[in-house]
Amino acid sequence: MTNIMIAPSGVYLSDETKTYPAYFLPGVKESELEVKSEEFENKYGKIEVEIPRLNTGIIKNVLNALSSSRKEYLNGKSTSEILDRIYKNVELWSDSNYRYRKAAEKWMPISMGFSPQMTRKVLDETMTSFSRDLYKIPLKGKKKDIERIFCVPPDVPGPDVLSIIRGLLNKSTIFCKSSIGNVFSPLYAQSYLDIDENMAGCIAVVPWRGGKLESLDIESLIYGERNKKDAIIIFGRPETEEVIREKANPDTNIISFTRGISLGIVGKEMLTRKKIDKLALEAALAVCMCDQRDCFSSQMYYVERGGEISPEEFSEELAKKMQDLEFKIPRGELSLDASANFTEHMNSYELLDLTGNLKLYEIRKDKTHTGAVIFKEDKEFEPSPLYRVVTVKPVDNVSEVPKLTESVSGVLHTIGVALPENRKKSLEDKLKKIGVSRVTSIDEMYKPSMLEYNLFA
Amino acid sequence: MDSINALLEHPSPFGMDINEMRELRFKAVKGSFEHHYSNNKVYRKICEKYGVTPDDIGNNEDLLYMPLLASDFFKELSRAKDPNDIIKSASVPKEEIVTYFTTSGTTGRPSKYPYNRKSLGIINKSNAKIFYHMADFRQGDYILMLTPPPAESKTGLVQGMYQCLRELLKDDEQIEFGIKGGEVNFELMIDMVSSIEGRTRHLYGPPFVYNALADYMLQNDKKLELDKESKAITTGGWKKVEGEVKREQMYNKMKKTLGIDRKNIRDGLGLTDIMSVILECGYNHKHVPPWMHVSIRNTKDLTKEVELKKPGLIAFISPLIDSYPAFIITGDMGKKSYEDKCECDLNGPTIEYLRRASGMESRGCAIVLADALKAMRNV
Repeated sequence: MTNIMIAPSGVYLSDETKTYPAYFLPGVKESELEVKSEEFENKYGKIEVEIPRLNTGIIKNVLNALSSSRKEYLNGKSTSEILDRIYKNVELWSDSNYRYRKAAEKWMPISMGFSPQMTRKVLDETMTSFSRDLYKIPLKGKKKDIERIFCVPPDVPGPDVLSIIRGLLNKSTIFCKSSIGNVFSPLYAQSYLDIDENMAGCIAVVPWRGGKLESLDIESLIYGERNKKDAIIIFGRPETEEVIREKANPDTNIISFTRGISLGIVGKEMLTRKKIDKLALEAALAVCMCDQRDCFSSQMYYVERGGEISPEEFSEELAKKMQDLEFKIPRGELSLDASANFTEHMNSYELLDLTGNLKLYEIRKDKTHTGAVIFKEDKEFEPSPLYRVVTVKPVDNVSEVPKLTESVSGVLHTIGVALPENRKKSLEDKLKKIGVSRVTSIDEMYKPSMLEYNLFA
Repeated sequence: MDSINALLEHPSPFGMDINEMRELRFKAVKGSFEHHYSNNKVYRKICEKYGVTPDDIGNNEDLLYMPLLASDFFKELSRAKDPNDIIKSASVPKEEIVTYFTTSGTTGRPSKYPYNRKSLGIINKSNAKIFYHMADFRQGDYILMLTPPPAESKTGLVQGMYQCLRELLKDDEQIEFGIKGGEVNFELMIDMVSSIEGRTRHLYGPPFVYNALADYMLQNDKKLELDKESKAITTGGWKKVEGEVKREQMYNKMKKTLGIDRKNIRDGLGLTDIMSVILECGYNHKHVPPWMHVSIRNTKDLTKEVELKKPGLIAFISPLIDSYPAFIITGDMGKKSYEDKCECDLNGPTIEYLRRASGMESRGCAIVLADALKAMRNV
């Protein structure tokens, strides 16, 4: 059996734990590994994250260990056996007292910047969505012959879980390059030890700073020495994809979900006094979830004129709900650069409000801005500086939106639509025509289903 | 205005007594604040929102309360449908505006700034003084700009520098351009510099042109020996070059090919929002001119300054400009390396530019603003 390196059991339950090994590497003995620490500190606490110093020898050992796990274990299991184990794992994570989840809830706010309330909400939503959809995955039919999956997930939970689950169900092993400070991915991988040690041996998670001179050797090995039995799943900036494509062997399957942008469309029929409360809350959640760091987070709303509630009133209601959410699921801590960028934009919005160029609805916690709703009369598509800033623009007819969003059609991810059924279909068709991958209702924007990501079709 | 003149006309503005420098600068900034508060309706409104009047600005510490304008504000105003918006933000009568300078900005959205003749004159003078005192540019010197001529480029890097050199050299016969009709001719650049005799030769241009010139000279075994007092001024962004070589590697190549020492290669930070430049000393620290107030602000609260050597958002307050309040909070991260005295012995603060706070490092899979704008431009 593969030699799996395990952190001592129960270590994560201790309140005294301040150092966390942010990796999970089957096939490597602890004595073979040299680690360095990086410190994270914010208002939620302080943590030291241990990161291994990688070299090609270590990577080769991990890849060999993953191959053995596949041969000796994964290939011998039926898909339903694998599925049951995954389900059990999701069940564990759905329990807020589960030790790995408790660790995630404690450390994610510090190193990943989510508020504790948002961390809980994100984990709840992620696990609810996976437990809802797991048994709906079609298991019959030929599996794509992929032995190994190399995955580059972003710093939000979900894509890593998705890659691991879809990989295991495809009987592929998973090597996940996490980012420094992402404490969730390694915890999630490690949690398979509680279900089946052998299954845990099919997953590796390790962070490093990508694209740097010092990581050239390992990246050449990881991405360059692949073949058609490998798949690389990239969730990231287009530049990351470019770098990986340059290094990767042309035979390798590259599945790319580079960063995306999402928005909502509200029809006049939904803008009634009766419906506005629910609608505004759904729209606010679509903005605030994951502090707008997700590709499905709404960055703007096109709102149709002619309803009982005007687009400007919608903005006001949206702002009220976002302010409520600031108390219930507060925005997390921003990095230095993100807060600089946010502050510069807020300063500009305040001035433009004073000059009558826009209407600003400020979201605050104490005296600090924690978000904003910007109402502007023009129709130009306007991306957000993120971290809970959303723009509302009026349109005479929602059918104008596909044309208005054509300029970003290449990066459009989700469009949330609030329209009566009889108007929905034709708009949906037009949006799909310009390349929108996901059209859904506004309340479903932040709840993507794993069924929508058929990685190995 | 007296305090501005006193600063600009000082025989050694970068070496003047620090207390005198602070006092004169404060007077200049306060005077400028009073002018914009009284003459700019938009700025007045902003001050009223924050409850700040000229009476509240009593000493250097109070400058923190002067409302700052985000670079982005000018970008957005420049995009506004109503062309009078720019005029609304001007602090002089419309008839006095003689030109608008446009900056491309890092996000690709241009900003437009209104200028009256008085402001243009004083800015040219200021920039000329900076090159005189910090880079030893003198009347009679020769300058090769590794850029297109002003008729072919509207960028601040070309226009601003050309105006400044004209002010300094008093005529433009000694200024030549290495890029013409969009063509970069390295052979011509080498010939132009080699043919100059009896004058101190300086170079000015963006780092990527220096890098390409040095590569060309190395490949073709060409060599120049610039003069002892020669300076090579780099400005206009390092991003293009740093993807290829480390900064020090480029300096070594320049030493080999142009015969110029590291201490004479001076990087300039171009402040397009206020048409000014901040130049390095021989120790490669960027010196804020005494007539300008620079402060590094807390990224969460712009009314607070961060400590010396700590990173924050760079804010510039220039009292030289009459036509709009040049009280700018940039989107750039930087830090102050020295507050009073640099190791080169000059006085006044020095700053270090760190990076654009673009939110590019945004964690997650949502597209960031800069990428979205890029995607929009690529259509």
